[in-house]
Amino acid sequence: MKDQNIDFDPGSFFEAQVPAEPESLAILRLMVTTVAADLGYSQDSIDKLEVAVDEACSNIVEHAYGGMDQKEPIELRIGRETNGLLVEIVDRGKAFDMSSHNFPTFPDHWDEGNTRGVGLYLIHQCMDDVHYERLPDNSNHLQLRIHNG
Amino acid sequence: MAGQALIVQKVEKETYVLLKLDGLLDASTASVLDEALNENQGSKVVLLDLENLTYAASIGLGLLIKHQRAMDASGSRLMLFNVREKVHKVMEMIGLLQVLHIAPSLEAAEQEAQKTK
Repeated sequence: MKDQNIDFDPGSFFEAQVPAEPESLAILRLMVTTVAADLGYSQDSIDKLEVAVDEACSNIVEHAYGGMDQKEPIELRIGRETNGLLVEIVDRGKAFDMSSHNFPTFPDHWDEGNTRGVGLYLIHQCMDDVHYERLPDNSNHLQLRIHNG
Repeated sequence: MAGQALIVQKVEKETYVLLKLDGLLDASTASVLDEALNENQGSKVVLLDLENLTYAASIGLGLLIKHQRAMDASGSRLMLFNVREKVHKVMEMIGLLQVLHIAPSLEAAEQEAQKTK
């Protein structure tokens, strides 16, 4: 099994487990923005991190665990790594097929009558690096990174 | 989480309905906005004051599009004003500044409302 803490600087990350419910989003946003501020990131970077984490966890609640009675908690870790900030979000819901996802273009997306479907696009817009992996133990790992400099 | 709700305060004016949003708009509070806009769907003009909206997730911004479309289709008008920079940036990232009806101030929104009378 993957060592979930391998990418973090030793002893320098915070972690939380919260119920996979919409009501957990505010506390997760508060957690990541507080840690990023403490680590000295700019307000613009903090705002973008808040959006990326919120959209990612909203997708877990709505899609990964959508229709499932048994919902494992969402696990979130945030901390320094060698060249920046890393957030890792883990759930045990349905897998996501990243390869089949088409990013929207604007304003076409709205002109076509859509009202949703921009969360993953926003995550990519807000983060320097986004990495998703489905592990053999049926867990989803999403890594969001801000690079320093 | 206590204190993280979204509150919608309604003020009825002669020519429009003013809805003031206070708080955070995310997946846990989107239904509050949806209900408020549903309740006022019959109004000719609805102005949304976003001065105290400190966070908006895409699920909430999508609701604004949904209700704007419905009101446009019925010849009425949904207009936003006092959009905070933080919310404005998210709207910009997903191309909503060109799509949503946004006024720079209450006065500008009121003027726009007059055109819809």
